[in-house]
Amino acid sequence: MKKPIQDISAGRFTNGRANLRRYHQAKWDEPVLFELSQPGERGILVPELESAIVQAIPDAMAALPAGMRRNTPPALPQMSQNRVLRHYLRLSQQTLGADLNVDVGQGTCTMKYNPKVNEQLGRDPRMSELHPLQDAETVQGMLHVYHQVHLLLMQVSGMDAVSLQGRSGSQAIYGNFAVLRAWQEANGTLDTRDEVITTIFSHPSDAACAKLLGYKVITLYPDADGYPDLDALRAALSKRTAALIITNPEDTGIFNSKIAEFTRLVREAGGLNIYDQANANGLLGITRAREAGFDMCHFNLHKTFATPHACGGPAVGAMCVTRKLERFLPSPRVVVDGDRYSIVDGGPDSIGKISKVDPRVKTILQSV
Amino acid sequence: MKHIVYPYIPNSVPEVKAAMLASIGAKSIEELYAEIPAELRMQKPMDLPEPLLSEHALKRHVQSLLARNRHCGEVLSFLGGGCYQHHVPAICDEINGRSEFLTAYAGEPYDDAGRFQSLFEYASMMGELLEMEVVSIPTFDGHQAAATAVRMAGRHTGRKVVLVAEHVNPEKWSVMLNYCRSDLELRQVQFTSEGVLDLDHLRSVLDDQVACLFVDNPSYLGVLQDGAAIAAAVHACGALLVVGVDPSCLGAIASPASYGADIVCGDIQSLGMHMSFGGGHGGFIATHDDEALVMQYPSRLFGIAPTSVAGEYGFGDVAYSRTSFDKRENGNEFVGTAAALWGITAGVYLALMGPAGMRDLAHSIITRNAYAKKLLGALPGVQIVHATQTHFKEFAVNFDGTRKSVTEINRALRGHGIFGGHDLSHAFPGLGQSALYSFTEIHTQEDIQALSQALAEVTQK
Repeated sequence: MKKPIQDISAGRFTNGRANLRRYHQAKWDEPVLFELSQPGERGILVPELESAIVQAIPDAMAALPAGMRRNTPPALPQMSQNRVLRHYLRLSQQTLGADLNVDVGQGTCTMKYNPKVNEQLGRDPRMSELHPLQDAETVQGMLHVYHQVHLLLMQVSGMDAVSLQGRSGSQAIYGNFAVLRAWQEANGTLDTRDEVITTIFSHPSDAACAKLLGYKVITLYPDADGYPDLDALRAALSKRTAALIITNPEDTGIFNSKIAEFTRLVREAGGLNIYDQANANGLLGITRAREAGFDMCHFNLHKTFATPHACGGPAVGAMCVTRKLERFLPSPRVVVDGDRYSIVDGGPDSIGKISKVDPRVKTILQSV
Repeated sequence: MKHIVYPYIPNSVPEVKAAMLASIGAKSIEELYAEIPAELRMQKPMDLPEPLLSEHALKRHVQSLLARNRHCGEVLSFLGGGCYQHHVPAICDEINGRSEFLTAYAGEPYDDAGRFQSLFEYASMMGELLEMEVVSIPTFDGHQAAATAVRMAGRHTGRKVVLVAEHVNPEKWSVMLNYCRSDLELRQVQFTSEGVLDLDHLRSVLDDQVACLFVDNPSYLGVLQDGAAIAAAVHACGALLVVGVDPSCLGAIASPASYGADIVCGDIQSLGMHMSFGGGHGGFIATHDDEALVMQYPSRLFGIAPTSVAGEYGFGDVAYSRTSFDKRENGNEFVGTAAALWGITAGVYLALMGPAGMRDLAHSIITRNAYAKKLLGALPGVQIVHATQTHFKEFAVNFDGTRKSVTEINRALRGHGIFGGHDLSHAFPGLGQSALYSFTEIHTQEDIQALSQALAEVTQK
């Protein structure tokens, strides 16, 4: 009689210790691309000019200033197509994407599963072949998606308005500070309130973006129990306070149960509260920015909403704000009238553009 | 309540959840939320649409939305203005669709060696194209690259005024204004009616307060202009020349470095990325290997070094101490996720194209634009703006003589299955009813003739 197959798997452990620990990532000893160059090889050909065009335009560069012609060809590698493919497939095998392994990430940044159907849909030509300057009537499907994502994030955050222009969490942080600055310019407090308070366990971009917008940064250190220090906050608050930016949970992973006290003190001191919610996986539907007293927050769609991280972008950081800050959000906006969507200018108070045209729509589509 | 096992979430089987709770000694999931005060807990479920639980239902739903779009692959599109329709080699999609690259996050050289090597190679190939030694890991887009480049110039020179050549993408101008608002003053320098920078005006506004001049060459309106005279004027007052360039012209057009640019920046969408409604952008910043200037980059820079194994290369961060990752608010600007996968893809594109491909690409685009200028310029009432200049990828077309607005013309063109050029009448009112028409290597003679015929028809009606 054959031995049952379970006997094989039983051999994997001895006294609870694994016997098989032989995982090895591929290592190809792959040269640098330039070493693979073979003069004369081509990887892809450009469509040839039609003879009628050549006859009509014998030298299109004749009028170009002499110094504007390139005299030395760029020293790019010269490779056949399959050699390029093989090189990059080998390098891909030397990269440990989250699909292959549990990516514990770092700090507050944990990776989620990125469903394959999303990728398939994001690569549909009705998405990938859209030009950002197309007339609104030709992109009604995409504008509907924007609108739906706005509504979804308003529910998740409790905020009143959303912008999807930020191309990463850090750019959304930057965008939220630009909104803070515009709000202060509008109410005349920019000269007197120029300090932003953050904590050492909040993301480096929280401090860096505040500085970039011209704020002085005050950093709080944790109390004896590892929580953000409420007394330190009291000591830091003053008439110079413009805002608090804080993560919760911080990189320690522990929810700050006094968060509403933090935001109340900042509000009473005359500042705004900004919540860095790059990664909100553990809190969706449990607790929100609004109830905790925040005026702004942001989400990374590539962390909290199942879109891939792509070696570090492309990505989307969604900015969410309360009603009083809505008019400062980036331009343009998507507005709906019945079932027709249009793209309109952000208005005179808008901070304008923070990134090129419209956001990473593939990422947004995948978040729906 | 119906129990749902979610395919995307492991461990959602009730027995598994119970076992996990038991192993940490918790009675229910509620114990894990004990730190969240009751008044902060949501009291009712979020008001969200019903989930589409099956993959098929989700696909049907999204496809029904996509069906409400009309895309550039099914019509003839002549839209440009910073985002361009090019041929995307199949290998580019093949590589950036690989799970390993697509889903990688922020590994170190020991587990992401391939990511480090491919981004180092991207930067190296860009360096060859740009004739500069240092190229950043991609930033968000060309607009952000321009905004950062002028801030780098500000830090390097210690000066506060940034001059910006007027024929700049209006969205790029807005991004730069926003990004520099706390401590730099941006001023525009005029263009002549010929579509090139007015050197007399430039000289009149240059002084020892000016950190840099930022100029796009080709300009937003597609004009290629002589860079050497601009560089000489800027350098004479100790300022830096920052040039925005479309990398796809550089197989045939002189690199900005060759005519004296100190910082070069731009967008890599043209190098193998689909337009994706604006989702295909990534920015580059490049300089010579001048340590003082290199220390002004906020971005990550990847370098190459020997390892302890003979014959082996290693790849990793260079001068990390510049960054906000290292120094928080005391680093340069900020750094984080941006557009790395598009950098890898642009590397694949440049490796496929090689020097001959990049030469053919640039030559083809310039020639097709010249051909299109000839055809459209011959239409009654239609005038090519800056007609005598050499244009790369796009040029402005004026319709004042047709007594029709760009809005009307473009609406009529859509009826012919054509997306006409981008309307310039708002951002450049001085050009009247003008539109920016873009032609790349994918626009055939037949396509250009079809546009010409349709324009003849809709402007004469």
